Amino acid sequence: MKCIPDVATLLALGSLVIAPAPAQDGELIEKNAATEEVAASPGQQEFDALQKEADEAYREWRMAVRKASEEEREELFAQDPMAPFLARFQAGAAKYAGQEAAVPFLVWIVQWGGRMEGTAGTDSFMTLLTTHAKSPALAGMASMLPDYDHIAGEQAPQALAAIQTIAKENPDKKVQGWATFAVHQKTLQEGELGSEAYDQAKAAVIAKARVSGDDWLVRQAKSTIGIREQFSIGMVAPDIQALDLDGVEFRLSDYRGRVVFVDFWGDW
Amino acid sequence: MYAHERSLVDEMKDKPFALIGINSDELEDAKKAVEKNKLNWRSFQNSGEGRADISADWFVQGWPTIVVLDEEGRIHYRGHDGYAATDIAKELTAKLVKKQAEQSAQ
Repeated sequence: MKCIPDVATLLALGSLVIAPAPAQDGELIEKNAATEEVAASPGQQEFDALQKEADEAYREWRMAVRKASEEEREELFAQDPMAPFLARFQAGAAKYAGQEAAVPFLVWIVQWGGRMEGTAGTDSFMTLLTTHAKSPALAGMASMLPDYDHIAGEQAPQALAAIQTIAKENPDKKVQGWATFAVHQKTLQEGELGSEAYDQAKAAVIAKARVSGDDWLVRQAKSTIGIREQFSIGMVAPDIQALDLDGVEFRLSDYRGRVVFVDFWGDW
Repeated sequence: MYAHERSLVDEMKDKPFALIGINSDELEDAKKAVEKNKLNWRSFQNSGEGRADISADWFVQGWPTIVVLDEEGRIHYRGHDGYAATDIAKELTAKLVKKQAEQSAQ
């Protein structure tokens, strides 16, 4: 009997486990718990092993590119080091079809298969949006949602309808944020300023981006809104006052009276 | 794009047109690029002390970004297509030249 803990000990253990963590550690602990939970599934283990292999192949390909002569380099660029892996990720997605364990395989196919011949990327994208709308693991491809029309092609209307559902029903705040941005993006780019539709889209996107925990989404949303509100066709561009490359200060408005081709450039 | 921009500046040099760059390189790298590629337009330094990057104020997310302004500073094009931007800039310049000729004839 000694080695079986009594109820009081169990309760004490339980209360230890569920005791609220100090505020600054809260997020970290939550993440660890999530990782452990996922790592326990055999599907995730299979995915991790396959991804490790694919990452290794990609690293080797990049090393080869770095060492190659110019001619060899062209040959290397003609190959896709990820192409041989596509069938294996597809097999993983098929094995766990309809289950949560299929999601990471499908996400990989959307990220890498989209550039390959065939419809693998589009098909996996549609499967994720429709079958896995409530999966928090969509976070792995959330930032691709605003590109839905490009990725889904002819199925763009169905993709948009699915993303509208995801924006409401996915439990992950980052997924909700990107989905909301994807849904309202066209209104933010082309909607009439001051219209109800534009104001509602803006409010929805800002609210969801703010709680998404994703700085990149916040920047994308701010940029889309900023461009529409300050840089639309017909608006007067703000002035610039800064140094030229010789350290001489000038203003963009010094060139009023001329047509100006403003070119944001870099030597890369 | 260097060759395209260089020849655009050459072609338009006697017209009411300017190509103004906003360069995002380290200053020394920018100067080298200007010298090596014989770049013939004036550029702002994108970053400067005590202010936000110009590219941030202008919400630039990808390079190159081109904005075409008419003689009053109004935006006629914003995007990443240098050829489309060039066509619009040339058309605007031709209109402006015509307008100026008409005004000076009156």
